[in-house]
This record gives sequence, structure tokens and C-alpha cells, in this order.
Amino acid sequence: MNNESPTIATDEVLARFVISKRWVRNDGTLKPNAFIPSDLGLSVTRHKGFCESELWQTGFAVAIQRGKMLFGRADFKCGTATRLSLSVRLNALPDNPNHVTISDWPQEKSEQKILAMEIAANATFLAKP
Amino acid sequence: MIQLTVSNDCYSIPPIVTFGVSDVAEYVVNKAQEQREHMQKTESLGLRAKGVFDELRMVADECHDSGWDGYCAEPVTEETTANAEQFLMTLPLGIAPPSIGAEPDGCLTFEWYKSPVQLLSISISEDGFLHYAYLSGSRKKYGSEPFSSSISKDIIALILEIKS
Repeated sequence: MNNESPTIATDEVLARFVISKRWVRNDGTLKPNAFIPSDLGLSVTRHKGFCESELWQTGFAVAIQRGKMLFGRADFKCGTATRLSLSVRLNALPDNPNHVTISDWPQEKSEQKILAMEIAANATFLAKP
Repeated sequence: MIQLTVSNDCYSIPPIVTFGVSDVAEYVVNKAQEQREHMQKTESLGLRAKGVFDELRMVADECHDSGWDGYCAEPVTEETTANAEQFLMTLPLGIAPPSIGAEPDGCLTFEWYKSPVQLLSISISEDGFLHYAYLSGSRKKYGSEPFSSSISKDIIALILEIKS
């Protein structure tokens, strides 16, 4: 695992681990509910430096930590968030050095919803292996 | 006392509209409400028959506790659930059923979906506010409005646009 740069390029891929079956529609697309932030922002994991199995391993660990089941992950490019004027910052955690927080969401709830909708529209769901 | 509902700019069939204060007026209101509830149970018109109310209750139960997302989510309260049920009851009969969800701040959500770039999502909060976001290609609309006993024409129009 090689994770050098704190700066995340716009074409880097980020993963939102899907821990609720209600985040995924029957046609395999993602609902905006998967991308609504908490007060602390939206937690995602950058792909860079992780091989596929390490990424899934991290996803399973996140799900276990939360007491949830992992259903898959939602991949999208960092630029999708920065284009919406959101900040994307590396926020390494002890068990996830690739942890990223998407922050600077608007205060207004309906504005948060429309941004979540736009991220969802540009994300791809991958079911867990 | 009979509730007076003025619906000049509202599309939905108002649950209760009357100017009367007599026992007869109250009887008419109650009968109208019974009839509406009955129509909600029909397959052709009713969201109740389509299982939407059951789905709402299921989501509310799943998200009843603090931290229901395994992180720091607020609980979906009984007040929020009651507001959401009232919202469903107030939708025009025959409208397409939404899918139900919840958000980390404890709101319940309704989604009408055609494609990832054609959809409407409405959140309802404990304090009775509707927060909506609508995407149709490059067209976006979003905002918030209070909800009591009727839904604005604008929101109904957005639902009908998605499901047309």
C-alpha cells in the first residue's frame, strides 16, 4: 500500500461503501440518500494505493465497525464533488489511511439533497464480491 | 370545532374542507375521511394497498434508534413518522408510489424516480417541513416549505412530471 499525497486529484476515484440496501435501486443505480452528509461531512475512501482486495477489505472493516452489512461500494471521481464546490480532503484514520472526508456542504438541507443527487447520478455501484 | 382548510393554491384533494359547525357537518367530514381512507386501500388508487404505508413503518422501525446507521444518525421519531404518514395521505389518489428512505438527520424521504438524472426526492422532518430536490437533465429545482394538511401545486407538479 502506497499512500503519499494528501492532495487528491480530480480524476482520482473515491469509494462510498454501501451499508444499506435501501441506497441501491432495483436497477443497480444509487439513491441520493447514500451521499447525504452527516454533521461531520461525507466519509469516503480513495482508491489510490489500494489494490482491489485491499479496498474491499477496508469496506468490510467499515461495515463491521458500524455493525452493518456491506452491500457494495459506489465509485465516483473526486472531480464530481469538487465541481459542486465541495471540499475533498484526506483524513487518514488508524484503520483506514485512505479515508477522505467530503466537506463544506451547504447548510440548507434542500441544497445538500441536490448535491447528493448529482453525486449519485455520477456514481457507479459495484456489488461486493 | 371543524377544521377549515383553504386550498387556493393546492392541488391535492383536501382531506377536510367545510365551513359548517353543526353535527351534520361533522358527520359529513368524518364520512369523507372514511371514504378517502377506503380509497387508499384500493389497488388502483391507494398507496396503502400498494404497501407504501407498510414500507414507511418498516423504515421508521429500522431507523428508530440513535446511530441507526452505525455512525451518528439521529433517530426517526414518531413525530416524523406521523408527518410522513400524513404526507402520504394527502397525496392525490392514484399518484405513483414513492420509495421510502431515511437520512442521518432523522428525516424520512420519498423518492419518485425515472432515471438517475430524472428524479424527485422529498424529505420530511420532525418539525413538519418538506425539503425537496428535483433533477431533470440539467434542470434543477430545490427548496423547502412547511407542510400541514396540504401539498403545494408545485410539488405535485414535480411528482407528475417525473412519473409522466
